[in-house]
Amino acid sequence: MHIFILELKRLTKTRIIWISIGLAVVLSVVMAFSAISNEEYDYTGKNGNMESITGVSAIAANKKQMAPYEGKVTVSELQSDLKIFHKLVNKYGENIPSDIFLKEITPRFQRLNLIASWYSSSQSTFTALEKVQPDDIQNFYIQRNQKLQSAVESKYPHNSAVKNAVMSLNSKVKTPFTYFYGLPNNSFFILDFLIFLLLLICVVINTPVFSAEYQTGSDDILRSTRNGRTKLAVSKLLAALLIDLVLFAVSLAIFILVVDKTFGWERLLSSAQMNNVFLFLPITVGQEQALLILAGFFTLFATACFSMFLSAKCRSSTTTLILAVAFCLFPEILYLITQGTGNFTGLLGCILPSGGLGINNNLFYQLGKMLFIQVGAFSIWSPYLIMGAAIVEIPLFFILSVRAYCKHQVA
Amino acid sequence: MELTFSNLTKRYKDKTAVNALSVTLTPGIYGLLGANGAGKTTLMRMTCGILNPTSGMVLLDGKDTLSMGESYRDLLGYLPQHFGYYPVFTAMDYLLYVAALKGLSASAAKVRANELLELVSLQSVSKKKIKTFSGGMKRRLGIAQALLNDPKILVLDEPTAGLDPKERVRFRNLISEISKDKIVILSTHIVSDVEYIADKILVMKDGCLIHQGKPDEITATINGYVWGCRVDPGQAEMLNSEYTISNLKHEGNEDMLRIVSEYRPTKNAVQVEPTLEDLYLYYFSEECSNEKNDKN
Repeated sequence: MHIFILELKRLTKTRIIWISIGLAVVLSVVMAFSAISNEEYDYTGKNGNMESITGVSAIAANKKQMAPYEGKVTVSELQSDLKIFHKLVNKYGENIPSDIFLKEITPRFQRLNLIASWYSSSQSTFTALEKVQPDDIQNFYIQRNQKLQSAVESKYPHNSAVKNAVMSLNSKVKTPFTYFYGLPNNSFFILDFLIFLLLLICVVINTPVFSAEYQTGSDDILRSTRNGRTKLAVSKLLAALLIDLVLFAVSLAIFILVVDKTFGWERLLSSAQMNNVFLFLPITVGQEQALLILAGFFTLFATACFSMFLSAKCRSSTTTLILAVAFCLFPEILYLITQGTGNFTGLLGCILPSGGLGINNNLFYQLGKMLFIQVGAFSIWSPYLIMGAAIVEIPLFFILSVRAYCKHQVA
Repeated sequence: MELTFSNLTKRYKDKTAVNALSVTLTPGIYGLLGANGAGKTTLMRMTCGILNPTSGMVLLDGKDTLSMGESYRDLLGYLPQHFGYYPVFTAMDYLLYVAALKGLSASAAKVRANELLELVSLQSVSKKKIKTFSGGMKRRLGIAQALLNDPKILVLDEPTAGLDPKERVRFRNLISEISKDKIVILSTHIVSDVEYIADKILVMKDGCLIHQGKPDEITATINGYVWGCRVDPGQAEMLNSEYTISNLKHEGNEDMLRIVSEYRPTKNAVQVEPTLEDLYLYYFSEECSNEKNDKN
């Protein structure tokens, strides 16, 4: 404990730590601002033209407009929305006047979008809705289950275990869905990206932990003091991880507080299926957000431990940093090259320490992808694999780092 | 207290840095002499438990120091050849940090740090960041940190590198003062640093201990191999290329040479009393000329 506090004090005296924490705070504010400023509210201006506002005032206006449409998304409401849509299309075709569109379609858009994506994922919302009749969705939720089952069977035709797992989870999805304004599609993407940037900052903090001491020779003095190598290594690792944790917690707290407070906490009660109709995990948007944060936390810590393992192995902090950043970006690069196809590359993208974080290869997308990776005799859902691998890698790389530090010897 | 190196060997892939070295040290100052690559630093790092020997043991009063762990390291003070410090720390912060690592209480650490800063003449800059220090100041701070826990075994690798002559004299006096009941091992290229204060000299070459003994005993091994002569500058140049010249001085139209050689180099050469520097040159003339060539 004594050495841990000493190491912590030493780290907090270095400029890089404060710059990193400052950068993380700035990033979280910028990202929160970005999530808020992307929100748009369209209305008909005094001269009859469509005008827009963005940001906080758009959120307030949207909230007011959407209030009557919040709550349970019943089949009869969906049918009613569809009827209104067809009525307007019959009257105006595809060129619905903007004032009518804003008044009748925009507030119903989330629910209409639900029907459209349920009907067809490959067609535009408008085209899909034109083809669906209100009577077609009188058993919307039952039909959704059937469509989900067909999709699983078609993607994994000879794998009943996958089908059973999907349908078992799906059976717990609460219907009818619940909707509150502020579905966080965009802010979840930004949240994932923020965690990815935090991960890179943590790598910058963690890579010098051992290698810089080897490089400067200060490690020799530490090793000749009364504390053994194991105690030193564990203290150094824990101190660096605590700083990572503070950085992560502060940054995420700012982001979540700003974004959720602005959009309204009640949005977290929405069914996650309102974002992705075929998501078979029985969770709300709030639980989905918690899952993304938890997965981000595990991934960040797994990567932090991995980068400290590299640090314990390499003699130069520059080499460590280059290697660690390369490993961080590898799952993302792999995804860009393979577009997520192929079992082995999919597996690599999930099990590498930074798997599940990035612009494309992130957990938020993986949740909606219904991607099962074959690992030996088992088919594992990619989000489970990402989380599981990270949870295993944290103690694994922690122990390997301690071992590498203890074994490190330089002539 | 007895520190014994028993058949101590350290092998790297393609090199044996220390080769079956055996010696027993009792309290006193030991000057470790050897050219670059002789194995001095490796020996010192093994002494401090930073490197594990490939074979053999370091024993303290018969106990294996590796198994003694904390109780052995508590007795150690070490100044590495490349003193690694934390640039943003002040001298005082750094000493307090190392003192805490060495297990000193906060109050004792403060007192001891102040004493040592005074001792190494850094009291006036105790609140300045180490990155602003000169090489000599950093070295002195390194010496101070090694002394924090009043070590019984003090290992100093090139402690005087970067110190000016006045600082070196202060350092020698300091080591002499504190060496009572301690085993002090110090390696240096500056032979005069150990010549005056070392109780015993250990000479290492190619990982082996080739000589050990008191300075006068050890220099006696090259009795008859050191010559003094006066020659004209042309002949001096010729002799310089043939022999190891330990000193060359111009006096009028003549050069006064001090030559280390097993054979009389000139007819007028007379035998002179060898010094430790002559001994160093005798054993390491090849390495010294290689170093000179590398620098050129």
